[in-house]
Amino acid sequence: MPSTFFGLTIAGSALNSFHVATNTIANNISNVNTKGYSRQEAVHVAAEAMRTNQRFGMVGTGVTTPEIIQKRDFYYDVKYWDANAKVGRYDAEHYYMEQIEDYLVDEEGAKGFSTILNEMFAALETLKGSPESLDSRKAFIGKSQNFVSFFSSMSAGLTQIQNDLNEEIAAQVEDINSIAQKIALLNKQINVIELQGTNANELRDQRALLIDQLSERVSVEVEETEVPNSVFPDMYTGATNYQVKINGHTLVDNFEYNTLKYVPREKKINQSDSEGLYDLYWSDTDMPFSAAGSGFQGRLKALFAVRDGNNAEAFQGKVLSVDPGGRGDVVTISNPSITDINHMTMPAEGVITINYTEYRYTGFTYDAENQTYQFQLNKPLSTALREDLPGRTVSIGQNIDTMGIPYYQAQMNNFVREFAKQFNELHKSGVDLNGDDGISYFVAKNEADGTEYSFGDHQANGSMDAFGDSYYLLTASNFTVAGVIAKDSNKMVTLEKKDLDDGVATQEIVTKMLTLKSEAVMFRGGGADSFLKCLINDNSVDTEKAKLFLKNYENIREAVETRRMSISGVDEDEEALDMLKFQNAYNLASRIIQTMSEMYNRLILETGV
Amino acid sequence: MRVTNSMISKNSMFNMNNNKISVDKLNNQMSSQKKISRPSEDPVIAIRALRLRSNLSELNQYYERNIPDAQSWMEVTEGALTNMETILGDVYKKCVQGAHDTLTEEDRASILKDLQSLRQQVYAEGNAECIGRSVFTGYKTNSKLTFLKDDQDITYEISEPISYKNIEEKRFYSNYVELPGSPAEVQAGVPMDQMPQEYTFNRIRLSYEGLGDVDPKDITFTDANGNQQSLENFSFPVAGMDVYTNVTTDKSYDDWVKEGYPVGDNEVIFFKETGEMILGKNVADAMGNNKTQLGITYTKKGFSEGELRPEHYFDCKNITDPDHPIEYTKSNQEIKFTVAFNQDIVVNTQASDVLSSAIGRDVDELTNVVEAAIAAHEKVKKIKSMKEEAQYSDKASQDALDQWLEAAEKEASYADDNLQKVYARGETNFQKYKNDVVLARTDLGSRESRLLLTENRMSNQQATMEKLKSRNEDKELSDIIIEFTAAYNAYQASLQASAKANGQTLLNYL
Repeated sequence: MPSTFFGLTIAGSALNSFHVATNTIANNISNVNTKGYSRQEAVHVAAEAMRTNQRFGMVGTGVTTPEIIQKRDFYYDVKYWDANAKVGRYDAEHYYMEQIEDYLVDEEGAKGFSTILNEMFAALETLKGSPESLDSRKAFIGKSQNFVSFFSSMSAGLTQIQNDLNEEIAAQVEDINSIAQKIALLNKQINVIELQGTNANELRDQRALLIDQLSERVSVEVEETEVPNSVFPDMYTGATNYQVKINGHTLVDNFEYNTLKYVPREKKINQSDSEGLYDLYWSDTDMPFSAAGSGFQGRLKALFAVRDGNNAEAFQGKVLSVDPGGRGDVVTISNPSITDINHMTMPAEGVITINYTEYRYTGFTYDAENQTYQFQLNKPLSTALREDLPGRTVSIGQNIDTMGIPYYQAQMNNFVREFAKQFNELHKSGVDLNGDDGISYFVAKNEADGTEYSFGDHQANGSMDAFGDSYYLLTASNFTVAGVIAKDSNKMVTLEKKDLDDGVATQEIVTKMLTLKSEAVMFRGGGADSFLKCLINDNSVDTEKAKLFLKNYENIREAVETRRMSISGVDEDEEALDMLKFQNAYNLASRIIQTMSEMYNRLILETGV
Repeated sequence: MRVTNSMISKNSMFNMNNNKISVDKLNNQMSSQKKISRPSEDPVIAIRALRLRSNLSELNQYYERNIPDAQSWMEVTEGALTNMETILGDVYKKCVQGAHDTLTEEDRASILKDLQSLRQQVYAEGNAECIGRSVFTGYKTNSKLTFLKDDQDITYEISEPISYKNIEEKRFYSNYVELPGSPAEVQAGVPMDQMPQEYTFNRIRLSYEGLGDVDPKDITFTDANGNQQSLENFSFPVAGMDVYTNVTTDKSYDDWVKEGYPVGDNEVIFFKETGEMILGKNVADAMGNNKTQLGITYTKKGFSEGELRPEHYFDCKNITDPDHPIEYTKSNQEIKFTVAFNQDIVVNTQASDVLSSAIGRDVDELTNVVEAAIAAHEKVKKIKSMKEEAQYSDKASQDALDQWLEAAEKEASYADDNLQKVYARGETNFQKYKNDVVLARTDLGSRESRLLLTENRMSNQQATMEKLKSRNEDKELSDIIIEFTAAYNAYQASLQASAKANGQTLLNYL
């Protein structure tokens, strides 16, 4: 027979349990607005029954609360992280694509490329009517200066965006590193607590919140496995192994974590890149970390894609031969993917990847007849390599299939090189008003010392040397009108030598210049006026796509979040009802104690006295 | 599905935000009245807008710059041509007067004065300018049609094309009466062979006089095969035999006059002083029969004010500085303005099409014959007055003076006859010159009217293009307002719904 006072104990257990439950409810209500909080539930389990030697056999002993659990479904977490990564990527992509789009705007209030081109050719049209008049010449020269400064300012703007992207990449990497550190710390704390057999609910919530933040930046994979007892494999120790992988590489492995570091590039990959763009490496192994690969998502991927995106037009080729020469070997490359000076994006000095190994080169030349390049490496190679390398693939930089900043810089370079070349050919075919031969009208300014390159080494067949005075040196950022012409409009050419005395108002050369606007093939199969249309085509389609995808994935994320909240969110009405429930139960339990107390009273004090 | 309060508030927020996005977008549209504010909102509209704007700006260039420029150029040209027509008309009237009326002394004097002033004016009109650019000189807009002041140093080598059409008759007179000064000279009288004589020759007159030396090789003709050969090789049949032309270029004009104007039938004499080639009878006939084209290269040093600059009419070389000759080639120098898409219009008229280089020379000749007539009649008057004088009242003197008078009157009648014939020829010539100008004016007029049509068309096209542009990118304000009101209403509704949904919980009722 159980003790007389056993009933009290049972009621007592009820009081305790309901007390705990009410505390849990209070906790839930207090945390109703806490980010990442999953509602907790006190689990009630009937206490172990006791054997009595009575007719009625086992008797219940009340209720216990073995644990307080949190309601959370890992499945929805995974789905959320997945959608979040995509949202992060398209958000970043949309934001930066819109910034690029700002430079392509051309409307009433903001003069863009088309307006400036139209104004320049309108001034040329007026010049045709009176080519010898100094006023008309000055007007045209002024408009052409607007034209060149459009390119230099757009190039500077794109470089600025590239720098912004670079800084943001650095900031994101810092974030990732600090998140990794915090997760490792939490892992330790959680294991310590759970080894003792309890649940570390709040810490788990915090950890999941950190993964939420991480997932926006990179694609994450999380795996949590239980650590079995090595001696008794069926017994669960309570500890778990928590592993976080980003882009396929391990970031956090239980208590250990890796960090990323960002290293500025020593040599540019694209000719028009900004200096010192960051590449990412793992701090411990110095392995490169590629964020822009296909299949990855996350903010970081978009940042790299826009910063380095070259529309998969990186320089590629095959090694033809490796010969000794000068300070280092000369690699001859055939089957190049770039065969035209206008499309060249390689820097004059940089890093070339042959057979997946990187080598430094200090210059290159191009032979248009045979379509081969010769790259001068900075050191000699071993004989074995010289025999091994022919036939291997060569590339400069990576193929990134996004129309990012390098792509737009390359498009601008392509345009200004072709336009300058065609215009200069016409300009050099005649003489100026003083009778001197025409010089190049559009030149490239050497930023370092202020001199101008006027493309004396330009060859009609397209061969060039990276350090020679060819159109390769002309980029959108250093595109300018020759200083002597800007100062003295007599030096502009509108007539041929024979017309200097015979007729200063001849219109032949100016008429040919006018065809450069739309008839002459200038850019991607169209005339000069199709430049902006092509770029707007490229960019606005991308921007629109990013916007659409962003909206879609935001909606998906919302839906997943709704599901998550459905399971884990605190509902005030529900808690209030539960509170009522437990309060009543508590009242009832205390009523039982009172009743029992009265019974004991009667028994003790009023029975058999 | 379990729904929590926080889910409800989250969804309310989400929906309110969506409504706000619509309201914001329509608000922007209302302010700008454009369908898109960025190209990415609708790339097709953006690119179409670019194209339309580019077309519109080209059109504006034509309509607002090129067409008015062309019009002002043509107006200046028209003014000058009108003046030229008037001037040539005046000269024509003088020719008519000279050819058909008997002139008195005053008439002759007044004609002379008028001709001299008209001579200056006619070419001066050719110097007309439009904004500092000479309009009649083709591409050489920085140089005038005539020399603006005397320049004695400037030397040109000119190649002038001439042909059988330039052959005309000229009368030469010898034995001009020199008034006797003393009784002895009076007594000498005028013997028969000293009487004024008239000679008629064929001649080709060049565009300038006072030329430099010319070598016979510099005078060429185009033979049957189209080759240019020296005129000395020009042959023609005389009495069955082929005879070659005898070219003389070194005879002095004064000597020739003193010798009594000898010209062989097969001879061609070039006079540098007067810029004329005298042709012998056979030569002239042969050239007329063969319709020969000729050419001559000569030099001229020193030009006076009002003379035509050779570079606008002929192939020539400015050899003032022999080490640096400046070459000019006579070509068709049309200045074209683009006034519509793929449409050019020629705005200029070239002087060589309007004013012949012969005009000045013709006026000079007219002046010369009037002066000769005036001089001749002066002599007659003087001799008549001498006859009245006491010292010559004796019979011998009177008889001698009668001879003088006869000579003088003969000279005067020759001069009058020449005057009438030259003026008759001038009548024809100036009629032709005037017609050239009228023709040029007609051509100009037709171009001007074509320009006007183009202007009209451009103005219409401008309106059309503005309309297309607007239809492409603008949105009707009333549509926007309706959409905005709808969006705003939706926004207000969502606000109210949120307020209601998130208001009360169970705790409020416990």
